[in-house]
Amino acid sequence: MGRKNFFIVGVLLFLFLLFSAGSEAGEGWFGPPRANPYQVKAAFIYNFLQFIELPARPHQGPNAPLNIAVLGEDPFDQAFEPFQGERVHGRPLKIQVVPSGQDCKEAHVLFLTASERFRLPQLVRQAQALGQLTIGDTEGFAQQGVMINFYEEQRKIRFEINLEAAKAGRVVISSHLLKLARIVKKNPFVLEK
Amino acid sequence: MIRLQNFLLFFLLCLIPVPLFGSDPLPPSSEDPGARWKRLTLEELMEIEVASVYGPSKFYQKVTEAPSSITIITGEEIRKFGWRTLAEVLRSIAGVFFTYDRTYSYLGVRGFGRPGDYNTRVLLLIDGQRINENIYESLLLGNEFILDLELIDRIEFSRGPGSSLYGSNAFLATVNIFTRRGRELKGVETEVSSGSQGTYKGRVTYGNLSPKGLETVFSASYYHSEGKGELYFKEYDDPSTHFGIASHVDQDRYGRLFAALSFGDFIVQGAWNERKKTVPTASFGTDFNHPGNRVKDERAYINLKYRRLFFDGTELFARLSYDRYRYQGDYLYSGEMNKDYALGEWLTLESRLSGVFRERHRWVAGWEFSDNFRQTQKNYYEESGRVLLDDERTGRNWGVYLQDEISLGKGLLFNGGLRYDHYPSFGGTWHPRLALIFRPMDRTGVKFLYGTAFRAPSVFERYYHDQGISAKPNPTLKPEKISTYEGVVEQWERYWGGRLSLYYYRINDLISQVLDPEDGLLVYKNIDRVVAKGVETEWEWRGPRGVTARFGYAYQRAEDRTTGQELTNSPRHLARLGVNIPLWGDKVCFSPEWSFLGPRKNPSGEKAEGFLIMNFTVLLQKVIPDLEITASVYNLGDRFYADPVGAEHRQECIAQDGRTFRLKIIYRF
Repeated sequence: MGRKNFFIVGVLLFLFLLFSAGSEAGEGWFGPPRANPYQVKAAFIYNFLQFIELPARPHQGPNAPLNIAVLGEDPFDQAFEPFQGERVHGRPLKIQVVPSGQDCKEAHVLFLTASERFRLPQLVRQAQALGQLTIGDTEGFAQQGVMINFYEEQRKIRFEINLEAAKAGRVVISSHLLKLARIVKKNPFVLEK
Repeated sequence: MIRLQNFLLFFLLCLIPVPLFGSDPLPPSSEDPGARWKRLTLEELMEIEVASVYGPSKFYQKVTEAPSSITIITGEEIRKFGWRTLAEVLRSIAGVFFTYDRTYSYLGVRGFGRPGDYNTRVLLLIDGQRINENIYESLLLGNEFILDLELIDRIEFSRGPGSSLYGSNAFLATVNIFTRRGRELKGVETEVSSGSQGTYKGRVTYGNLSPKGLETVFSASYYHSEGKGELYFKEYDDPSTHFGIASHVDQDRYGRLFAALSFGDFIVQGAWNERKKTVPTASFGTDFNHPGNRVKDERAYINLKYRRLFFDGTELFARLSYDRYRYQGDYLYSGEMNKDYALGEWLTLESRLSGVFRERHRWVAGWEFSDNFRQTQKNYYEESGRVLLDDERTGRNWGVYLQDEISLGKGLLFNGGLRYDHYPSFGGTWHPRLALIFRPMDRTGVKFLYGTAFRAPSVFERYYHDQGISAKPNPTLKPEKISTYEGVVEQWERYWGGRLSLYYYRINDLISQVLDPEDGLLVYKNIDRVVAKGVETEWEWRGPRGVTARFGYAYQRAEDRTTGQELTNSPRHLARLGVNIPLWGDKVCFSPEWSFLGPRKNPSGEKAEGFLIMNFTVLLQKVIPDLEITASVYNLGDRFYADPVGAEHRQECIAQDGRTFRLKIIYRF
């Protein structure tokens, strides 16, 4: 094989490896593709709701919609689509994106994106007063009073729970969830700058 | 044969588009993907491996809202590309290159890479600990670096001035290194590696998090390299100097220790490195081809840190540290041993408070105090006892700073910082940084950055002399200063993203070594003025199956304003592409990497050729549990290239290694 052709074959082989290993196609040489982390987080949140009791709100029947608000810049995209309208404890889920700074008092569950870190103390206080479940995925959020916070460990999604914050918001978390979570007590040392 | 080739080409061409059309990534099933997501239990969800996406990644906030343009390199990338020294790691960043004179490694950033400058214009911090030392202000980056690369969790490289937060040395860039934590190591990690030029390395690391909350990391390593057996330097091609062949005088060895203990809000960390290098280049006019020409660098620190995060988001950080740097150079002049010696010791105390004010302000306020209680430089002849230099100095410097990030709504951020530094030699200096960051579109960010920075003259530059033989001191040196303007556009999608930067740097009072015409002695003076401007772009792609690619390109021009000449060792073009391709469910990972460095000027003004080199690394893991094997080829094409070097060399350029190999085996238990 001539040097030039050898080179072309090499380049094509490289491109083939690159594209095939980079695409979202099914099984093959490359093993299963990895999931979009936000798809997994959405499924987690759906599961959490089965194991969580939220304080009752006045003027809301047992079948009133359960509102989930994603606050700030939405990283979920279409990830919540499969769960839109699904029933949890008989209540249909309603998932909305609420831009930063807008009112989210109607929500039962708040997902606080990293962009909300400025307003975090205020949002945490408000959520506790209203009995909203707060969820985040930013390092340090649980220590600052967010009830459930996602983190990654060896490419897998894990979550930590701040029990004090949940109690303050009258949110009851079942022991099944607590068993799977890392419990955040008080201000653990975080190396992150 | 021709047919076979054509068939192969056709076959490959047909294959390329096949995988481009795919369905939802997980889980593989004939069922409707949405339905399956609903059925998964928590336990099942916890087992799913997720892609590291580019857009909403862990560091994305940090990168997009920082008042500078940042590149982040993870420990995983370091593993996959088989990099051997920190200098090699940093070369993968757009606009960064390094040169090696077979003694030390020197970094070049944005067209600014002065031969013979010991990286004094880049600040490096390990978990918040300053690494630049207090004699030469240098940063040791090659085998002389203090930390094993395997202990690095990630590196954040921030371009531009950082003096408004960090004070001196944060001139061209600030490198923040974060080390791996015990909770992630969870046990013992052993490493043995072997490579070309008789190179061996061994390392043992232990890390854990006890149930009571004590987190520990201990690590020790030793490295030995015989170096290149024969090096040829045409400048010494003479019968009296072994015909220019330096034979077996390129040995390199180091030992390193690292320990970190953390409990509650406290952390204690210590690190030590001692590196000995035989100098094969006969620098400073020493005897050629003599194994007695050697340098020894020892750097160590120990610190105690306190960090407390309060519920309202306020954070208190304090650090007390002891640092030490010791250098010993053995130089032979006509068989007589000359010893060059430096010892620096200093204590630093700093504290910082940060918090949120009225939801719109994210502020940081802090102070830092350093007591340089030992800054000793000596130079003497061993046999005759003749002392050329015996200089003892001390000095205390301090700084106070304030930074406020104001959220103005609708994605508009203003970041302003100011720091005051005081040095006994030249008094006070103020350095601001201003940044305006906004989002014209959902996934597009724009930054306008302005800042100034300084570098204090080192005690070496101020006081080094040799009784008037060749050099004289200049205690009145002023700090050198830089003003920078930069515009950045960033774009991020789920799987890819990148940025484009335009910058303009103006450097004044640059400290340079010059020959005083009155007495013919070398002396450091604040004379040069430099203007550097350029455009730089960096793109990253992270495919859903774990393929990642990073591409960087920089075009830059750095000019001396007094002479109108382009700077030496300042390539106009720099490009780099690195790709990781995992195969067979992550068991194997191919990582090719191409680095291109354009033509640049030698110290004499001649052109040094540009070059493209390719490195290739294969990583094998999870085939045997807990075993990881990395095989690397560096400079695969065996391309010849040479780096311009400083004035202490008779050589203009020093040839770099051709093709070399390394095999590294890591076992964890």
